[in-house]
Amino acid sequence: MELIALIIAPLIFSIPSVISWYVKKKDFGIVAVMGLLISFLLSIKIYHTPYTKIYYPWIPQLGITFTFIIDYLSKTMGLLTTFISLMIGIYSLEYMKRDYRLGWYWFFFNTFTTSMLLVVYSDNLLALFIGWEGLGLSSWALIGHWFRDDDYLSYVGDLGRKVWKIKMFWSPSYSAWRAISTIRIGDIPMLFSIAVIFALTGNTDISSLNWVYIFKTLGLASNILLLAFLIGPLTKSAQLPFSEWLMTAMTGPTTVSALLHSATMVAAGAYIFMRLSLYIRPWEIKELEIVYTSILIIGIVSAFYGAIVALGCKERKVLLASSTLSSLGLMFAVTSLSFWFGEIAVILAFMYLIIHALAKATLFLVTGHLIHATHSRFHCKVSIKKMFPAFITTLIATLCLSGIPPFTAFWIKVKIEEIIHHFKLPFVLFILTSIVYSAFLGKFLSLNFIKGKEGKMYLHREILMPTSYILMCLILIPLILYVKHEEFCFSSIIMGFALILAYLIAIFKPSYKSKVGEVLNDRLYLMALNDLVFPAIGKVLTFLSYYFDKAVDILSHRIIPEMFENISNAIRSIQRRKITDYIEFIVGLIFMILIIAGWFEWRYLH
Amino acid sequence: MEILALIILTIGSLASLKNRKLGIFACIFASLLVFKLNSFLAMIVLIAILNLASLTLLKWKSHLTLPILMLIATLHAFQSNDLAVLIVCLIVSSVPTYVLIFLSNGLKPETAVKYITFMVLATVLMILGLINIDNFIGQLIFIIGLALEVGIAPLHLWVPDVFEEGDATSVSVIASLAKFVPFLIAFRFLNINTLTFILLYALSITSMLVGNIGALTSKKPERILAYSTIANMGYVTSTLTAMNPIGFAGAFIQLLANSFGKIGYFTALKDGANRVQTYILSFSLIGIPPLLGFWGKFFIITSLLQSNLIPLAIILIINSAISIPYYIRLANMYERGKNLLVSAIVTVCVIASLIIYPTPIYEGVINWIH
Repeated sequence: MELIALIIAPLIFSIPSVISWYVKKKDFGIVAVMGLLISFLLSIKIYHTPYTKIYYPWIPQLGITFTFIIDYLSKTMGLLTTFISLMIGIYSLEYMKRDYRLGWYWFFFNTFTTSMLLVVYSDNLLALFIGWEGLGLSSWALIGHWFRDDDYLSYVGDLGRKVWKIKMFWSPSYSAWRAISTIRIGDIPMLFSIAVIFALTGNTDISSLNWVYIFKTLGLASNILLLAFLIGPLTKSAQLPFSEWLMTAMTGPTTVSALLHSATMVAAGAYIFMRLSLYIRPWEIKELEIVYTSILIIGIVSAFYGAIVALGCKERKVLLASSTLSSLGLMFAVTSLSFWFGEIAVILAFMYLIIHALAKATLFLVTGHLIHATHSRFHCKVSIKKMFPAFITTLIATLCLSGIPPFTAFWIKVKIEEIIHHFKLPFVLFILTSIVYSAFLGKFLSLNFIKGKEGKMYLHREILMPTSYILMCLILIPLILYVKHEEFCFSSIIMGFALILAYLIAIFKPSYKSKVGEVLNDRLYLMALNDLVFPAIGKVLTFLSYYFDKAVDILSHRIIPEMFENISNAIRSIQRRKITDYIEFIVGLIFMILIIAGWFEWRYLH
Repeated sequence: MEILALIILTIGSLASLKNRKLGIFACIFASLLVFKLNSFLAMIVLIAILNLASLTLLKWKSHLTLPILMLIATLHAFQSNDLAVLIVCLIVSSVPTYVLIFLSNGLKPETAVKYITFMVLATVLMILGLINIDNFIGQLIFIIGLALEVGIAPLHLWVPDVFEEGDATSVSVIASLAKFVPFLIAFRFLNINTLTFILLYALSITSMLVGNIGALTSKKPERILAYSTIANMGYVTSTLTAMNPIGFAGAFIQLLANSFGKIGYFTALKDGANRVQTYILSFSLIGIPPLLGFWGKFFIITSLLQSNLIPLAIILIINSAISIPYYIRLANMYERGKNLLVSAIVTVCVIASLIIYPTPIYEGVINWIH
């Protein structure tokens, strides 16, 4: 019962604030935040329960129940989700104060938390899918939150710029559409593969499914099944061919970017992959090599792509978005290593997920504060004295995230390096990614606080905003102790130095103008895929469907009605109101039937 | 008990020449005498009382006993097992309509003659067929008689003319109460073999198509209702090919829905009806769930599927779709009226069409079969 309350509380508590907003134009966001608080307290309680499964029957005739699982992954992820939601909820009480549709905001913010918790705790694939759709929906609603497209502070890209046929700026409403259309592409194969799994075993619980049976029956086709399932997580985590929506998702409010597009929703894709890998036990199933290899390659290439794009980014939020993409790619890649190295890879990826979520959400919140203070979404310097908490927070978060030696991410990266060095290309890309990652975090710190262009300051005496990101940052520090430092080899020392060096260089020389940088800022023109290629396919389909539509139109509005009209007139023309005609007709008909019947009887029955 | 009811009716009809109310009380009392507790039969009684109420709109006085006579015959037929009694019931349930058709306000004698000619022919053919029902030819003659009696295409020729030219209230009796006994006898005595199956199958499909397509371009509401009756008879006939209990239930529920719709619409022709009422009647006749008309079609289709008659079921569904335009058109043809009695009758019909829980009626029919 606690678990249901934990999942449903945010949604229920958001309803009063929605009603009060739309009826009286009064902001009761505090009620919605209370829901998040309750959810957080309950998740702490759940964190201390041992491994259990909880069943609620749903369609018992088909053997489908709402099954929730409380294991290491879900309880940690649940705690993380509720904590970050609560912090960002508190932050947005101040950040969104003068917004024009807060009812919408709080409803979808809390709907998002509820669906995320459903995804996290659910053991049942169908229930998970419901939460999954809720994630997509609230992501759409929140990216397009400023649907009037009137505030250029919320756009992504330089206004009015065009490269060939691509418009290089994206409005909130268009970005929302991009996001939902990309995510939907992934959901369909996912649903189909859930159907296949159910058809094969009659069960949809991840932990109790007979995965070995499924993959042994399907043989090599099991690769297709798992890949079809994983297209859902891959689109949601914005891995390479689908990465564009995440970049323009930054048109949403910064709080939304912090919660959905860095810490939780996009990480849900990686989380699902980890959970599946933990229960599929791929290290025992030889058939899955193709899937895991391709995920490794997709992940590591996405990581590298995200890192170099972040290096060239001029906008604060887009930089963080592409670094998120990079981290998610790394999570996917490391999780896929579980095929060769077992459970340890999943655990490593999960630890990285937690650190990344906390640090990235912190950075986003600081960015929100910076955008508030400078009224600019591009990098520009603020004075450290006036925004000291922001500076310190950014420093700690970047250090923790980039993997500078004594901090948390370093230990994880050392472990990852230990297992990834068996593969040549992924190893090289991993090292490069780590170095570039550290460099652009240094650049972020430097451009915004130390060496950037001077920006104007408009301070509003915020209290809740700094409080929430400082609190979040404070959680990062004890995590250093949480990771066991064991023996580490020579190569990891070299990596540590390389990371420090990259960070320092980036701090002292944060910007360097070049053609390559421009191309990187334009994200290697990958947006052509979303803005040119797919619309072109869509146009062809529209063209075809127009003619199909017209054919249907003519058939159903001209040919069929006319035909029926003629038949109808013919039928009615029998009525000539003359009784003699009728009697002739009927008597003739009766005799005809009798003659046929008589012939029939004589022919067949005798 | 039936004898007592008949005596009371006779006295009542004589008394109604002096005072109409006495006749009505006698009718209701007589119908209660023969009524046995069964929700399906209760619905038939309701139909008869609605007919009675609508007939009071006419200026003649002593005819009120006629629908109750038909009711007594119908109820008796449902409780009897004897062939001779059933033949009598058939005659008694069809002969009063000959008189009723003469009671039209602006009477054309030709219409009445047309109706009576075909009815007599039909009744004679049915009786002839019933007597030789074990015989192959007898079954055929019975089916032809049935088709003429209730108006199944292609033997439907009298239906549109009579429905148009006759008085609306007397036609509503023909369209509702007179349809039960012929089908009852058909369900009880007809044996299905290859030839009768083919014949019924063909009759059912033609009747549905002729009724629905004919109604599409008809302009007068009476004609639309006539063609819709033909189509409904087609739906009911299709269950004769399946011959299973669900089919019986479906057929009779369909007849009930048809009766309520027809009584409502024909009575509303006298004065007018509210749009809400006409739309609900139309939706019930189309078969939009969860109205009564839906349950009739639902059980019919279920029975067809149970007997593996999938093509017939598909044709039935297509026909229901074809029927939508003209029923909606029909619903828009009515204006709001002033007469209290008419609106009361239409309202009762609407409420009866709003039955969304058909299980008691279903069980009533099933109980009768056992």
